Amino acid sequence: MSLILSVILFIGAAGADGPLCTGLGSYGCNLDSEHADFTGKTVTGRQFVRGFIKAREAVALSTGQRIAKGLKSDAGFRQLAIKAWNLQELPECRSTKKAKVAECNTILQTLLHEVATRQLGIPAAEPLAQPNLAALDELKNDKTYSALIKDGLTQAADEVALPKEEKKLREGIIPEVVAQLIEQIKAAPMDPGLRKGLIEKVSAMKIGDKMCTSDNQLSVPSIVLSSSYYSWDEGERNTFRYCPSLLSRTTSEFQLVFVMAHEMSHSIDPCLIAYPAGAEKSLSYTAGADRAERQRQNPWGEVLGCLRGADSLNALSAPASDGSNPSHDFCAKDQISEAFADWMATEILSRYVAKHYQPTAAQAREGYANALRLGDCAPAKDVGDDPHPAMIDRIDRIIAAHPKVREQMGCGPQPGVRYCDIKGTPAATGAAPAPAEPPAPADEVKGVR
Amino acid sequence: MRAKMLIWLCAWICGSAGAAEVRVIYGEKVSRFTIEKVAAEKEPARLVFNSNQDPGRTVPLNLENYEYLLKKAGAIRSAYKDTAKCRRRSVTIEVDGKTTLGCLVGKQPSDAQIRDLLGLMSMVL
Repeated sequence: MSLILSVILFIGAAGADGPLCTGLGSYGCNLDSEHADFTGKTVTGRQFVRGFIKAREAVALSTGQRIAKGLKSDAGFRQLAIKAWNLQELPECRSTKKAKVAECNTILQTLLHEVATRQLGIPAAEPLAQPNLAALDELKNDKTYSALIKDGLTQAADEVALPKEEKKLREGIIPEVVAQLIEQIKAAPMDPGLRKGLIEKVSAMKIGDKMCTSDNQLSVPSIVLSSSYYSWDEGERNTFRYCPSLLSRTTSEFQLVFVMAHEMSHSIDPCLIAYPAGAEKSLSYTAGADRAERQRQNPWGEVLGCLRGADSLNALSAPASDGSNPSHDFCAKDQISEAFADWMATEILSRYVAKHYQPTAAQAREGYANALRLGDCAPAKDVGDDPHPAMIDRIDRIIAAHPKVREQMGCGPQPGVRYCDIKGTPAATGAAPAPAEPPAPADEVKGVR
Repeated sequence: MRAKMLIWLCAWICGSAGAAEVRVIYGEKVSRFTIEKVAAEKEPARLVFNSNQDPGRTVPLNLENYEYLLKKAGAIRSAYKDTAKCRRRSVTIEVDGKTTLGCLVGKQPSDAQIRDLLGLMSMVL
């Protein structure tokens, strides 16, 4: 069914100068199936979730064993579980006789397994017997329960690991993306001191281990969480991380390079370019300057201005609380940083493809359609909800707009869409230092350009 | 103004606020948890989960659990003015129109409260 739909979409999206020369975004938004390109494949939607059956079964089984052990060895943990489901009056749970205790433990094990596996991101087949949430909250922070969740997350990461693919990612793709990002910094017009600072920042970027977080604190835990991100969090500043199952979602180099480049580009995006990771020089936007002026001070100012244009991505930002001016620092309620990261990722990906491959036009189209086949093709949202522009626009108006990409796909210029090329926009030099803290964000979320 | 404050204060103390929404940005993954009342006698409320990468899920809540979750979400008081320092993993909590910003892996007390809330919701969803 998915294959038929893909074929229909593929044919339907054919432009005047070849299939997918227009409508690459619609094709890239064709989810819930597997899409192979000549470098690998991308799996989305329910099919992606189904791919974890073996890992889920293994984690669920071990979690059940850990719960049984915990119930036998930790009386406090057992009592909290009894309280969570109001089983204090149940004869099996009141009794101290060995046989009854075992019966009560069997009931508790089933109930605990339901909540623990949910917390580990394993979809449940049966509805949950409604617990007392206040008591469950107490149970959640119990040391025995916390330990079994931590063990489950570590096991899940091991179960979904793909060592061969990960080696290629860590030793091949990531270093090359970092090198390409540095080349982009070298090519952009800016003050030499700033250039040196940005190169130092990107060079010092840390690559996290196989877990999504440094402390295994997966707040949105899921075996199927396949996200990746650039972190500016306290404790893991200037760090790139990817989740254990990223490579189960995609082995397509188009997507891996794009996503890595996108995330790493956040280290120098319009917001974080003003924040040093260490002692290196960062961009000093002029204090008190309005957004347009600050945008001009950015080394990629011309690109940023273009990305806000209706003939490009139309990157929005929210107005301030009084409705007058948008946020000035590009850090909150503004799509420009995501737009910039997409733009930079396209620059890097198109060069990566040209360096390593000579794809046919059809191969290039399949590949670039995979670059952002991530699962979210919902219409544009409020800027305050999600700083990402609509997925279809990110594909059609950034990736498919790039002249090199169009050339590789065998396509002529895209009517009505402008590619944001970098030209000589001098960066600010000698500007006043940036404020110590970013200004307060706008409260409203309606987008404006 | 005073009346407005009293209404908000009552809603907070009485735990009778209407709805809460927790939006989580985790890199490319964007999730939304909604705690809301529904017009049903047996299951008067529900917890709804939606995300751009997972199938959506809904769990019915009894009144006691609904009020507990709502109070827990409403009790989070963050010192963040924005989420610039953690914006790739940020959280926005909205309880009756009042917005609180947080960082998923931050070290502020409110960040720990946010993780705690998300952990609890993920146990029942």
